[in-house]
Amino acid sequence: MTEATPISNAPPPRLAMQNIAKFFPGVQALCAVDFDLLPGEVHAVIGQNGAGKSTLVKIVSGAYPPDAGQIFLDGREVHFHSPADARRHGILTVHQDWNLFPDLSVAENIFAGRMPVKHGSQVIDWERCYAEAAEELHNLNLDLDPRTRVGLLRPAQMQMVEIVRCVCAEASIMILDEPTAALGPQEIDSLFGMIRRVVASGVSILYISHKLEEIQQIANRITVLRDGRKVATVRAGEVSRLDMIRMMVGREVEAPQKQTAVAPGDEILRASGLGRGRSLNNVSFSLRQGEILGVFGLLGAGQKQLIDTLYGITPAERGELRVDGRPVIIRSPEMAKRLGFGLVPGDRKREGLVQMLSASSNLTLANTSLISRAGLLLSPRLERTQSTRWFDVLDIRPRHLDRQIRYFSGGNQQKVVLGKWLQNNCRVLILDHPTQGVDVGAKNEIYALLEQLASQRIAIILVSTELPEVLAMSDRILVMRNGTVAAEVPRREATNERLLAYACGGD
Amino acid sequence: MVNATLRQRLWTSIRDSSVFGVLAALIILFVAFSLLHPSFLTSRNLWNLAISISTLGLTAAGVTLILLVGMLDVSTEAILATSSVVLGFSITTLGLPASVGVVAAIAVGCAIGVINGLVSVRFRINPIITTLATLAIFTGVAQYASGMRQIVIDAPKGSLLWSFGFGSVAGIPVQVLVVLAVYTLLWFVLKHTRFGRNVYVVGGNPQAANLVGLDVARYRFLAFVIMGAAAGAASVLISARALNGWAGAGQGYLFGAITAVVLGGTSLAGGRGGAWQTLLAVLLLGTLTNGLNLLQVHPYWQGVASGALLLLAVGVELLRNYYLRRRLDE
Repeated sequence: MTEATPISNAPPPRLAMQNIAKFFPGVQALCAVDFDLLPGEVHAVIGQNGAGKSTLVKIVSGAYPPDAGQIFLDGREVHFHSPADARRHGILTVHQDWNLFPDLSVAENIFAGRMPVKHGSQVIDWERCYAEAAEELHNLNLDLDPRTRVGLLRPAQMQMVEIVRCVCAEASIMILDEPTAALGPQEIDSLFGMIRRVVASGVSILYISHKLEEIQQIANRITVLRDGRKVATVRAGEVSRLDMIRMMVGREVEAPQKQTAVAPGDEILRASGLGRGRSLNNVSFSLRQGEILGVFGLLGAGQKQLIDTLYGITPAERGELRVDGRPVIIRSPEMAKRLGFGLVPGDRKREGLVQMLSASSNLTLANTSLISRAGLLLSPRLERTQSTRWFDVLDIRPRHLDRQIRYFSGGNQQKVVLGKWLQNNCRVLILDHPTQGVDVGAKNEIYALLEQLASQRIAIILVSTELPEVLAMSDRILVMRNGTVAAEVPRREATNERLLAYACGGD
Repeated sequence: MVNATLRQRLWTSIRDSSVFGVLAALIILFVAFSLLHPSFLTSRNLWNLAISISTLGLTAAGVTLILLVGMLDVSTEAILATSSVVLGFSITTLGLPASVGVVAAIAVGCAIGVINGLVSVRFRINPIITTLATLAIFTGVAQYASGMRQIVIDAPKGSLLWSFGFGSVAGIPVQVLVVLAVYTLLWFVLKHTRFGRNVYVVGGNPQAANLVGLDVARYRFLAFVIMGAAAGAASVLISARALNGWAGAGQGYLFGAITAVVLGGTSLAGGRGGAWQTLLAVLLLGTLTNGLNLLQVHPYWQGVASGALLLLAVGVELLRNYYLRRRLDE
């Protein structure tokens, strides 16, 4: 071997990342990851939640600096200080939630911030603006009037406008993060047609998705991440979906298993053929007292819609719900609460807590009658004894009942959200990602609490995209895909691989 | 030595309370005006001061509740005008007893509140747009119905309406007693009833309130109605003092009331604030006006002063929050 650079036929990579590492307090999000992007290719990155995909994307797009490693762009080393910095180097992100201006026209959106002006002035040249936009749309074979208001477009068309915007901004690298999340099958086809045309012009695409089927259609190469490390980079044609799942899962993870299996009691809830709009279809399941039913699925598989339907936030349009064998129609959270339902929402800050109130007020707000006399007047003494008791039961720290809830840690906040339902004689507790943003210690406490609740015959629906959590806690697992139940797996038959295969639609 | 810890605790609670800035400003103004003008601290002037803030105080009580549930009502001046005209019309034109007139005036306030509530809460029209519309409509109605004339009300000394305007009990003006009663009630409801607690929950996070089964719309609707009643009652006080019913009765009250409520630390975003804070801020604004009047400062400059005071209070509040948070982080 000589010291000369190796000669190869492959084009030099547009982007090369070597030995990238990123730490967050207590976690290593990425460890010694190599990644490259060739000109004119679609390179997909896959992995489970928390595998490091979004950290990688954030490093490429300049949102985070890497803690170690080097990034080369067209052979030259670069350091991005901000997303704007990365953008100047031609790296653009098409976000999951589109950054479009719904009240402006397609053309205005495409040229947002860089509207063509008449020579030597600040006056917008509308003719040129529409003509150039029309030309760009035509080049990408898009049948859109540049004068249309973007707010009137369908989701797929919006997505395409955003891609056109990136093309016009002379992107050399585009990051697509779950671009098909809101699209129907036909729309996905036309999006893919467009991606192929963009790639044909030499742009490189970093493609993030959970949908393995689509990745097989569109990607040239696939990089699999697991626990912050790169497992492999493979050519898309050379692996099956099952191979991909195996690489994502790795060996079976040892998770803390639920200790006691309570013999489930009577059936408390039965759903048959629940549906709403296009996003929730034909969901059926039953739930018994003291049972923990896990609901697993990739992001956006319809779990959120299922929760909203069960809890009356957006009532079901089709199907039937029975509580204690009697048919019910749950039209509002108020009704759900009266039937004995409780919800620990996914977005604790926005949906679960009143930030400006004290911990004790938050703990008691689902049922203020318990701290009132004559059903009307609040009793400070009752409130104090009641909250002190629950502070003890839930081990909430620090013991400052009157401190505003926003000054507590995520884990303690979550315990407060949980606690407010426990005082309410809740019979069916729905939890949406209950351990998100919660440290490990508090996580285990919450798991222990769930077990304890189940042993008190409370029926629990645990919705999560975290496989280990679902596997460890559930008596039974519903796997959701595309808004419906893809499979119902009893606990003893559930494995990482099997659940992921159902969730991804692998064969 | 016992006193030392007590003093320290008292000081801590004052320093950490949201009224710190307002209280400090109030003390400074009191000291300054007493030094600058010999008649400021006379009982006669303090009596005038107390009466001058009572109508603003009543209105501000309603505004406090509206802001707490996360809504806004800008139709206040139209309610004051309409109620005043209705009072004059029922007593003078129709010859009804004063008590009926007073009830009618307050009922009309409630009715406008019902309209505001229905449109902005049930039909989900932005409350600013809704109440701008009712502001225009009911100002017009009051002006048309009265022909822009002041309907003189004859209230002989000792009659019900007269005592609302000029009477006193144990040396305290009735107007002041009414305001104190209303604020005590507001404080009690907010602090000690389930309704009050839920007002903070609904205003602080409507989404979370909905998810724990609270009917957010009901609380907001009721706040509009109570706001209407408070403005109707304020209108009775104004009219009783002027001894007429007039479509111009409400002029300038909206700005004053919102300034006072915000000055008192009630959040425009809802869910934070309280009764006594508002009353203290009303007192501060009243003292400012009273003192500047004594010093014969031109009204134009008084506007500048109250605007500057508002900015100053907001600045103090920001600084205080910053230090509080830093202390908690340590």
